[in-house]
Amino acid sequence: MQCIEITVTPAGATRVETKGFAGPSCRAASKPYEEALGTQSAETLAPEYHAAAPVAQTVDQRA
Amino acid sequence: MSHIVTVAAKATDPAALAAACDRLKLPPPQTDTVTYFDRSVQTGLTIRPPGFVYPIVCDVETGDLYHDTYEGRWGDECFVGRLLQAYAVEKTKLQARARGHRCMETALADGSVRLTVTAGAAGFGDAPQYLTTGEAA
Repeated sequence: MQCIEITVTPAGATRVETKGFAGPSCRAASKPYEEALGTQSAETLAPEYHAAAPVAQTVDQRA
Repeated sequence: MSHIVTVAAKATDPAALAAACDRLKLPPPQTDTVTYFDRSVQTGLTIRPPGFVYPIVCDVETGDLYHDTYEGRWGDECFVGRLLQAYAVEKTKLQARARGHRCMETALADGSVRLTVTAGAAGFGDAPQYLTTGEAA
């Protein structure tokens, strides 16, 4: 399941982590939260980020 | 996981700041001008935690917080972090509500708060939705 986990420490340090996404779609999903919270200070890409996102299929119907 | 981003929280939303004060059982922030001990002057939304000699001033244009706790003698320095934590939590909840996402809050043993945001069947707005082979068939 896709989700965004946001962890805030008692000192106010905030970490945004996306889970269950393949490819760069995770950035689009979490960007509104990152921008709403403040300014990005660091980013780490997980191996899943570089995984190929599934390609949308077209249905080819022939008579 | 897909990626991790560290964000320096900036308190730019008055509504989230008011919600943070409510969460911490403080009176709502008031617009005021404060002259600190060093004669520096800050205007913005002021928060008056118990035990603080000088209030915390939030400049919502920049999101910066100003305070003078004199190394803890004039107020608990840790409270400034707790205010920023409460702001980030309430801002995330407001953002989730505005985008139609669900947001579940969990208190962690170290005092941190974890918010798990899910989008349900509609998916995350700007995230492209892909069909799997099974779904397309």
